[in-house]
Amino acid sequence: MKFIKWLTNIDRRIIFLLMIGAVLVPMLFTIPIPFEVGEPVQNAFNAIDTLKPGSVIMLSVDYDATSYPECQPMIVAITDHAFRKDLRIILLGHIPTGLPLGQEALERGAAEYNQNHKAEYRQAVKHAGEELKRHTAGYQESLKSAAAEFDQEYTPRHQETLDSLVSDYLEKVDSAAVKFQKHTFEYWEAVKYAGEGFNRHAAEYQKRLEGGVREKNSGYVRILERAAAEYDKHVTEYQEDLGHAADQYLKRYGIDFVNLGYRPGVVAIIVGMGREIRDFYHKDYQNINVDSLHMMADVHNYDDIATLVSFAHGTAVESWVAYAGARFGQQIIGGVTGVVAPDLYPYLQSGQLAGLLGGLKGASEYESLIKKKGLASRGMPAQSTAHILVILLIVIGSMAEFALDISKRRGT
Amino acid sequence: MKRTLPLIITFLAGVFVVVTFFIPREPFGSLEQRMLVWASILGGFTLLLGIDSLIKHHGRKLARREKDWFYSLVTLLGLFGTLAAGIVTWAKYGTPLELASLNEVGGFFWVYKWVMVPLQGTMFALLAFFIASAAYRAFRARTFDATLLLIAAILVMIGRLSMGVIPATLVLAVLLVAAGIHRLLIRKPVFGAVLAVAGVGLGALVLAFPQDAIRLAPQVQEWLMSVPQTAARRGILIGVTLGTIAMSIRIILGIERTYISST
Amino acid sequence: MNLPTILGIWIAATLTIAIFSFLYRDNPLYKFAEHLYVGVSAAYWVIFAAKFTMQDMLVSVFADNWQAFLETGSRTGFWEAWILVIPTALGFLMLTRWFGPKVGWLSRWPIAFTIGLGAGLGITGSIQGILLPQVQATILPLWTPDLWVIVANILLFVGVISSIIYFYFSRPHKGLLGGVSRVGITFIMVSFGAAFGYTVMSRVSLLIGRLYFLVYDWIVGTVDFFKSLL
Repeated sequence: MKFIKWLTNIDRRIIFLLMIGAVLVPMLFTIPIPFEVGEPVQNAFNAIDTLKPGSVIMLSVDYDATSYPECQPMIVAITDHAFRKDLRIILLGHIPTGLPLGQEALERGAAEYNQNHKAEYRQAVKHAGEELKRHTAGYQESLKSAAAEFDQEYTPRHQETLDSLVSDYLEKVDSAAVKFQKHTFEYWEAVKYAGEGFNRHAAEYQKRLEGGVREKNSGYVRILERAAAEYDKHVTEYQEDLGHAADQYLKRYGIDFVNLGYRPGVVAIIVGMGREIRDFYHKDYQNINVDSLHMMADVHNYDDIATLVSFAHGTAVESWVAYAGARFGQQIIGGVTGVVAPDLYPYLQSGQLAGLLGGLKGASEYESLIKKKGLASRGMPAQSTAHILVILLIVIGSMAEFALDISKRRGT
Repeated sequence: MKRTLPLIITFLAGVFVVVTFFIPREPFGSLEQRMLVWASILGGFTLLLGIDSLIKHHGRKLARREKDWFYSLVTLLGLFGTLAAGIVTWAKYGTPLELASLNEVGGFFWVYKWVMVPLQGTMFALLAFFIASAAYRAFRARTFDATLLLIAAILVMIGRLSMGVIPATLVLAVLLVAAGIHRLLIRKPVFGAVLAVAGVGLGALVLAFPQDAIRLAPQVQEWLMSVPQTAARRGILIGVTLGTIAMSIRIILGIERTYISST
Repeated sequence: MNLPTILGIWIAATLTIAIFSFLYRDNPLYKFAEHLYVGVSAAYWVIFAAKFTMQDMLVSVFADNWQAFLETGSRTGFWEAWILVIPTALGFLMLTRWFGPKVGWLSRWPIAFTIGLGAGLGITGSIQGILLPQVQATILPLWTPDLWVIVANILLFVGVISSIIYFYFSRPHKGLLGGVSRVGITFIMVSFGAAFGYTVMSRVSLLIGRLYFLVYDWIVGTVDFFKSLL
């Protein structure tokens, strides 16, 4: 009887210890767990998976570090999925203490994507460089043969000058690539500038070659000019090939993803963005003018955004649904903590939410769909043991109370 | 005047927004947009409101060496230290939110990740312990409603398990049988019989078809969430929404004035 | 792993353990961490307000528009720059709360503006965004080829109506009203139970996150760091 009485009133510090044990023990062993994906998460996955490449997806960070273990795996998984599908991401946040988490997820996701495709990108760049070298050799040949034909002097100095022009240009492009890894519109500015520099020097070089020849032999000059124009085209092709390689294999800030930062006033922004995003986000998080970001050129309001995912630990998703969803027809997916998820099921059933990721389990289901186990999947075994502990505690407490109640009634 | 002008401003702002909802044409559309931008800017100023009372309160405690003045010093050092970190990173990179500052001791991102995140995260992680303790103490199947609540809770928890579904379901079955016997013994035969039969049936089914049980548990949970839970939630949501609408109308019409008298 | 990171991990681990020590009992280490949290959070909000509101929405918008006016004589630029005086003034009126009730009453104007705007948006948003779609989604066919769908639709319909009726307290819950609200409270109990199940999952996840950090980032990370030094 004393034991049963004790069972109805276990010291809470023992419960705390049991809880630590229930969570810690499975964490020390990797336990493979099969996954069945629920409908809300499957719908969310399909909503993103069926988007056309180049579509814009907006991620709203409406959580903070208090919900890190639940919401962070979600944003990491969806960023990964979006990059794989070549979607363009806009990040913004309504909770300032959570925005750095979203930023970290986005930038790390891009860096990881670039790392995974580094070999292919290098290959493509090398190939483009070799093409250019081939055409440079061809250009030199045509210069030489023109010189021979018109009996002009084509000295090694001319060759060296041309060689140094081209290698100088290629070096500038390479060093720009290294320097501007993240801020790739600066990289393209640098490439363009180097290209213009090359063209300028090439024109001067031409003039020096032509020198006093122009008056004597216009035919030679014409051939030189034709060869130069031809070469110019190949330099442009090289730049275009670099661009294509980057488009295909790199995720670059300003072109593939953008971080607009934080603005206060949740509902005001949600409603105002239906008209024009720039009214609120004049500059991005780094003070770069939003109009100069390549990706934002044709993004003005919700009409240009395919899907919006709100990662929230409060009522933000309801605000998005009530204003962006109802008023402007924006498709919305919710990635929320377990506390908030039950509140959103009415919106799921009414079709106002395209999908819902609820809590750690929702995050791990999404991770299994994109076939990349992350933080959420690793936490699931510990979740299960903790749940079983809570169930056991409730059942033991109830049963002990039943026994106590019956013995009390018998006693009286 | 001190009280009337704010009420007039509230009325005009509220009516304007509602009118613009129905008439989005110019000039209403762009005027509303401007109002929304201003509301956002005001929200930013509101973020600064709390800092004054914080500094005054802790500064006073520190200056007068009141009880626990050391902790006030900690607060103020944390405040000014983080401000300094933010300003330095902002000056260096043009924005305080620079991921590169994660690799600098004292960078804004560094302070965020290694001071803010653990503090915030652990504060809330304590809740896991309290919820286990509270669940154990408060959730006893004493009445019909409490039993229903418990069964729903346990079924949902079982549906979210990725291992141990069978043992957990058997534990639930044991609870149902125990509750049934309890009810039978306290002269509630119908309820008791229902619970006991449900418990025995559940246990038998789970032991007879374990694979199906594992497969069906998440589906049962999903059904519970999408049908009865959604229905009740929607009822509550509609009630709350009607209340919000009523409150908003009261505020616009000036019937509700508590937000003014808070100064 | 570099030095700032390992240093940061140790600081984070110390603060985590300091807060966990509260489980045993309130102690100076916990108080230290708690007060530090208050200070750091407050600074955080100030920096964000300063950068993302003051600079990005006021100063830089003004500067860009003023420059456009100076360079091209654009009237829009002039107007867009100087109209920002109004929200800035309202913002400073808001800050008069700092100086006590004698001056603080001025803050009622910007507060009234914000609340009026919020209330107006709340009416339209609530009706268009929540009330109408939710009611519409409750009007479901009660007869379809699929039995499960029939059961689900009936339960949904009955559940929504009865739980709304439960919250009607203007009349005593007797008779038919009492019966329907009894059904309603049953649905509500099921929903609270389900919500509790989700809440347990949510809270436990937070604990898993912190313990994961302690075990893998702190202990294993420190061992790796020292291994890499040797």
